[in-house]
Amino acid sequence: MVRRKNKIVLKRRFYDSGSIKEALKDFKEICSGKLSNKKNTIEIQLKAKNKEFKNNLDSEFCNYVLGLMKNKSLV
Amino acid sequence: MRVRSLKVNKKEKIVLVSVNPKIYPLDVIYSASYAFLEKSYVFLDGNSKLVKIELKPKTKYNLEKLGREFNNELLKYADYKKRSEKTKQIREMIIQRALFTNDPSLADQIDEELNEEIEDPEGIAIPWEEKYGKKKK
Repeated sequence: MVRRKNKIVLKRRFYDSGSIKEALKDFKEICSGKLSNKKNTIEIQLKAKNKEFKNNLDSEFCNYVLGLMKNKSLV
Repeated sequence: MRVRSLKVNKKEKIVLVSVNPKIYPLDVIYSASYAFLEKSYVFLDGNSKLVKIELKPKTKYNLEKLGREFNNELLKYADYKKRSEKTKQIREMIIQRALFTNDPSLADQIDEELNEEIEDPEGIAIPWEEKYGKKKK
């Protein structure tokens, strides 16, 4: 996974920005997040609210975004 | 046999699958990735010439096997896409026909046709009850 200063870097070519925002909303109870839009990428900084959720948080988030994209493609 | 498109990183417990989007289009890569969401963490990266898919199994799993399974999945969805494009026209025809037969105006027309009186010069169109049924006393 591409990281820059503890940020997940997702490429716009592969990830839908709407789904990223939606995922961030859905993850509100577990973590706080910051989005920063770059030209070709979207950087996301996640901070887990509880130590329990710290493990694999970034990976779970990326999977969740892909899951949302899958649901969108089915509609 | 070694697969060039696979890079196993045992230290980080990930396998990196490199795919040429000219061979497997992006929607095929997505379909294969979606199929792997349950058993592994999937991360997509790369550029227009090479798409890199990072797979990290959620539970203990053979990394090379995971990568090879992903390659199989790519092939499966590429074949599915090709076939669905080939059969698109026939599928549309079947749906059209199904919708056509459910047209209420056509159903009314059929009802009218059924209710029309049928010519019976031989006198054979007599209901069974009328011909053989018990006569009422």
